Amino acid sequence: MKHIFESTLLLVDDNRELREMVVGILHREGFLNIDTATCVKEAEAYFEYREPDLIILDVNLPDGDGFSLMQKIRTVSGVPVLFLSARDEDSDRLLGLGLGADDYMVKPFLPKELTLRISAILKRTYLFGSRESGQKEQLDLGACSVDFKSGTAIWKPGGYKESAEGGKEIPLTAKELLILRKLSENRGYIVTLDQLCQAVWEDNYFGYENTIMVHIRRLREKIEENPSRPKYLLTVRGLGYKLIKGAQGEKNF
Amino acid sequence: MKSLLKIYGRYIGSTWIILVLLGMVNLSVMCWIMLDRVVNYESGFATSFRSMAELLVEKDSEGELFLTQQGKDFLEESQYAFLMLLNDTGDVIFEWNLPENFKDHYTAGEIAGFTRWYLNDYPVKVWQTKEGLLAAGGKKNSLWKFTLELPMGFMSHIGQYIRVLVGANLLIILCMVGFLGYRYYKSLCPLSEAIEALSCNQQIYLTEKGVAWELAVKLNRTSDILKEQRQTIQKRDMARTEWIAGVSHDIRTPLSVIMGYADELMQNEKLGQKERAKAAVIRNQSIKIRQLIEDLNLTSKLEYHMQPLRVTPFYPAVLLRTLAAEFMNEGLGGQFEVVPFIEFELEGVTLKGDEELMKRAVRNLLSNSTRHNPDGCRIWIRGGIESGKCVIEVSDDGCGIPEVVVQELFGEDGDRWNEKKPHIMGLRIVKQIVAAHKGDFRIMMEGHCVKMSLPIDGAFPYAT
Repeated sequence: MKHIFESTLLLVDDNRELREMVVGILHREGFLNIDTATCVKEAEAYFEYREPDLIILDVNLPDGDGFSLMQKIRTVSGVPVLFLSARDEDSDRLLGLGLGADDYMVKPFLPKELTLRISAILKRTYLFGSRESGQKEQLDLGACSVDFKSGTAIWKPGGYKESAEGGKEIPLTAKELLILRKLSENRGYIVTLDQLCQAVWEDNYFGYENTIMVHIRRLREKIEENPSRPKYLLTVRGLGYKLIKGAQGEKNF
Repeated sequence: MKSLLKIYGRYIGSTWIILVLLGMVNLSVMCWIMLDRVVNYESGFATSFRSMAELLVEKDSEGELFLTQQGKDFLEESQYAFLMLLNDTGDVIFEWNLPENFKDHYTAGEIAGFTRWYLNDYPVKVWQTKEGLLAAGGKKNSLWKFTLELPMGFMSHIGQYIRVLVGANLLIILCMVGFLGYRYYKSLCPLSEAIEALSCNQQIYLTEKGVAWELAVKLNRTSDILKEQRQTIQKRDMARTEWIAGVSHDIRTPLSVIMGYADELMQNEKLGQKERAKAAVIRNQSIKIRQLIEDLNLTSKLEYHMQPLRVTPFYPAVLLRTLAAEFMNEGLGGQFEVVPFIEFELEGVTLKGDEELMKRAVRNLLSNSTRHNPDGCRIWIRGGIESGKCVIEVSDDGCGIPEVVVQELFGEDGDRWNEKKPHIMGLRIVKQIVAAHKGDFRIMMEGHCVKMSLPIDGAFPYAT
């Protein structure tokens, strides 16, 4: 498998300065093969002999518009398309994404955002480094770690819930695992009650107020040294919960 | 329609008043005539004749009849044409001014005739004196003689008859007035409807017929003029919005280049610290310009109703939690503390509207608090229900929104540009978004609290 930076990108934009700037950004980021086209004709001619791995497409082009160009390309190729347009209308956004574009960015943009989005699309499409970006199977919570595969909280020797044999495994329920999964995916950030309910029960928060509290309390009993003074799984009053990074978490919050 | 009914009622009332007044005037005029004319006449022509009769003709010492001076004065004064005295056999034994063609003998039948009616068209008054039958003729056509003969049965019920007659008259008048008024009212109804529609800025067309056809023509013309004006204004608004959209579109590409290179320079380690800091300023100012053009675009679209609202039901409680979490996740250096307070009643309540725009409104308020309180402050986000409406409050303990801004926001001349005016695009957008959702927007607590009340769409659909 070739490296992500070896991907060929085609940038279609009629503004020379912008083309130069974007090419510069992408080069600096590490992308090696960047081709450009200034109009629909050039882009179509390019496709005659080559198929890029991703197209960055402007909507307003001198001899046509990016939407119809994309539709034409789609008849011959499923190459991912990222629209980079000055048109900020929601209708344009929806039109572009509705046609099957992989992303729609509005100018002006921050270079970092562009490169991150391009990388994300490439990873998604060509599964670059899928192993690293896959779901983590281990969650480190200081004295305790959660293994999602076996669905257990494993306490290290010397930990609070240690048994005589050294180390203790506490089984977690499916819902508790789902809660932890959602929180660990957003570690360091607040997960609102609504997001949590969507992830775990696939329903609205309304009606689950107590259920959620009960689940969190049980979860804390299993993963926190002191469930009434949690170090990792914190409550953000009125909003939701937050799984904080590192043991110094108490200071963070 | 109600106003027209009122007019109708007043019309009936005033007609009645007019009728009553008219009746009273008529009655009093009649009374006056009776009293003045008839009674005067009675006293002048008839009664006085009766009282004077004995004094008119006297016998002198030789037994000759003569007209007394008093009698002559009286006859001349009362404008009698002639006077004659008949004896019992019907001969004229004395006369004064008797026209020549008059006979000097009358039969009993003739006497009976002129007593009741006329003698050769002269109205005649008759009185029996001791000298004989005195007959005085008034001038021709000076008196209308009519003999009234009524059965006693009728006379005894006359009061009743009059009452029935008057009652029937009034009833007929009332019916007529009511009917005519109603017809008029009916013909005015479409006009009233049209005016109401006009006041609601709707277009109308009336058939130009009936009593009020002229008014209908004028109203139709008014409607056409209003329509034209509306279209002109709309065209102008559209042009302005499109112009702003075009300008903001054209700025985007060059701004991208500026931002891109500034970002590159900012990260270029070959440059000195100062240069990189300057590049960072350029980048951050570019981001500000981006925000400004986005705001400008949105505010012009909202102002002229060109922003199509994507209306869907959404949960305000979820929205507020999401935004509060988003704000806290950004982690603004710990200077800002957000305290969410979402009342239990708001859970499960839905609003109908453009969720993204509502988020924009609350985000604008939050960023307003942070931007104007660089040293940090505490921000409360409250969601609840007050008198059947969803209430969203964003308040802080910072410097608050200055009075000038509040005045500018709620002032009349919001459109005119003035350099001294405060820049309030963010708040104006909030106000516009709330208005687009048919809500109420208020600034309270000396600018420390912005309160939005929005109509509720539904509640507790998930309660089951």
